[in-house]
Amino acid sequence: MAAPLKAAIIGYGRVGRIRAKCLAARPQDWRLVGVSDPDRSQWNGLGVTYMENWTGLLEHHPEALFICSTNQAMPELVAGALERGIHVFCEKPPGRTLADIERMREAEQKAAGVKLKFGFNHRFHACVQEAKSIVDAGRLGKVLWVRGIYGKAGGRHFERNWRNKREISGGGILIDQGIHMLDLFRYFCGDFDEVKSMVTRSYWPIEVEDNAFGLLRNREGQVAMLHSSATQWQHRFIMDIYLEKGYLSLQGILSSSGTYGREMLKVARCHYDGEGYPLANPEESETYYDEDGSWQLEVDEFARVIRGEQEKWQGDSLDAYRSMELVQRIYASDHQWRWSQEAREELARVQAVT
Amino acid sequence: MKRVVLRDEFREADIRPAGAYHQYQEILEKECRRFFGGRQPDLGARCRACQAALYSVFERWGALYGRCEQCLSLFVLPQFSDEEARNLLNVPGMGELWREQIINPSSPERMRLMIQPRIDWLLEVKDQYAPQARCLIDYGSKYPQFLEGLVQAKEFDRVTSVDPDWRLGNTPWPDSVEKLSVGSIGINGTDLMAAFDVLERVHDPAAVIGWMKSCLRPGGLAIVTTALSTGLEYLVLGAKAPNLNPIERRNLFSLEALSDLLTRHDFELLELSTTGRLDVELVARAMEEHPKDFQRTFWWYFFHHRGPEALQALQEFVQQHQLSSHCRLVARRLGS
Ligand SMILES: [Zn+2]
Repeated sequence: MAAPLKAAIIGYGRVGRIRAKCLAARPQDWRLVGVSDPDRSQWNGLGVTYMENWTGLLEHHPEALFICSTNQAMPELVAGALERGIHVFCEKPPGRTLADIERMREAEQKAAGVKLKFGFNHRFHACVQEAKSIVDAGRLGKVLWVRGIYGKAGGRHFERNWRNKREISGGGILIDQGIHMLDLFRYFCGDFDEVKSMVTRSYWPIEVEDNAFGLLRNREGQVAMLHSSATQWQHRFIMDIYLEKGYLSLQGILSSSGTYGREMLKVARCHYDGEGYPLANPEESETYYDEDGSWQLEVDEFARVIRGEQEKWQGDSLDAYRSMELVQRIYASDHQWRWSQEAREELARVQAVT
Repeated sequence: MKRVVLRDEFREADIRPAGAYHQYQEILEKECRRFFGGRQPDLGARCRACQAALYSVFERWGALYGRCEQCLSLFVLPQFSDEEARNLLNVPGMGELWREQIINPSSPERMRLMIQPRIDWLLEVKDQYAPQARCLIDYGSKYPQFLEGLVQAKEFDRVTSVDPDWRLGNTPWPDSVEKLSVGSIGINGTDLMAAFDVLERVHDPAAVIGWMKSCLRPGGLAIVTTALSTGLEYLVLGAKAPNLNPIERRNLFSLEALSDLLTRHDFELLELSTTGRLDVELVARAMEEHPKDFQRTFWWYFFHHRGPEALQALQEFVQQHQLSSHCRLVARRLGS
């Protein structure tokens, strides 16, 4: 059996700690050799080597880096690690802009054989995995449309949170949380070509959006409708997937805050009248899940990818690029949104390049 | 692990026509009283689920039911063999009554409410956990239509029925389904094994689970439904539970004991749901039939002073919290 992979974590906040737990749960796969975080208050012993600066971690020769830092720091960290031949697991969002993710992809292309994976853990939630298996099995026909609502109340000192400083985060609730829903839209429907949107800052005194509404359509004619909100006083995660012969509804998602309700998947298949018309309100089954294994499953997948046991993986750099592209297109398509011009310029630049 | 709640309109009459079922139960009760009348209850026996020696008992149709103090499972005393159970049911007319009027597989309601959902469930389980599965064994089959539906789905190379319910008699059987006996199934070779409503009516449920494990390949799935002693119906009604009979419900495990049984046999539980939807209806009926036994209890008050909405909410609640008396489970065989 191969030796455990030496791993280090950059950014030891909430997410960094979750990743550390995932590593500890798989001693056969991982050995955590160090953690870096500029915030000294995080330095209270869990028996891990702490560094203020990530370059200090290099002395411990990590084979993989988990980057759980702020968005603006990601491109340099990711590229720097890849250039040194270190595999990278980078949390979402993939930087702040398309230029950021492009920078990371360039470094990935130059670093042959070094793996880059982004953390879109929602794909690994039990309700999502089960929904995906039902959709892929095809018994309910083709997906007609999907509708996703993902929102939170913001929280204490929300206006001061780095997530709302455009220089650091690149955007507001959409790039922070809504991007998960966009990633799920892509997971179920593939890429979208057409985007319409309204983006607002309606409540919080911040420079970025606190609500984003998006309508997306792909070449198959499938439409996805998104509402991403930081004024969702009752935390909510809902994703409806309607198909030709039935529907799925994902409601609630198990999160570390535990505030999005019980994770549940409703499934219903259509019944038809004598003439073949679908009857309203078919019987539903509800499936409840008690554990969130998503973080662990993601880390497990990353280990398989590094060991060469798995060729394709969820959250590769193209997935990350496409989700970021959708974020930017939602910003760009609402001409009343204060940052839409910049988003349009960036999208135009990318189109010019490709 | 996950659990499922089914929201549909499901009444006992849809699956058990009242008149015929009553007649069937009358014959069964008479036969049971005769069978158990001449036997000692064997109070030294142990709980079928956890082997505990301590249990309370109640009488039903001449037999005693032990309720384990430790795990709450129910089991009939004295124990008897599967062969004896078969002989007891083998009285003139019983097979026809059961076949043609009770389980009446040709009934569209039964097909819609019971058989088709089972087919759908099994195929969903396959999609999610065993998309490569090519062979299925159904143990103790009751419905040829169920097997036929699976064959028609063209998802399996081989569908095998092992020891189908003998009361089916010479009911026409789908050609493409092979019929075999327990002893002729090879070990470690099967992808999926189903046992619908079998555990509660066999002498030794643990042996059935052990046998299923031995037939499954590592990673293969057991798909099981059975009655549970910890459901509302049995815990509230005890001996007055309308469908409790010492032949067809002779070993009812508690949810926990069932879960332990699977774990002990190296299965990983993927789903454990109590999808039974008849508890509230059956408790309401039993209270009407035996008012003296329930008056002044919480349940009596609840059932008599709250409307249909509350009753429906209760039925949904018991499903959600694994408190209904019929369960379904999917378990994966571990090991190599
Ligand atoms: Zn017991």
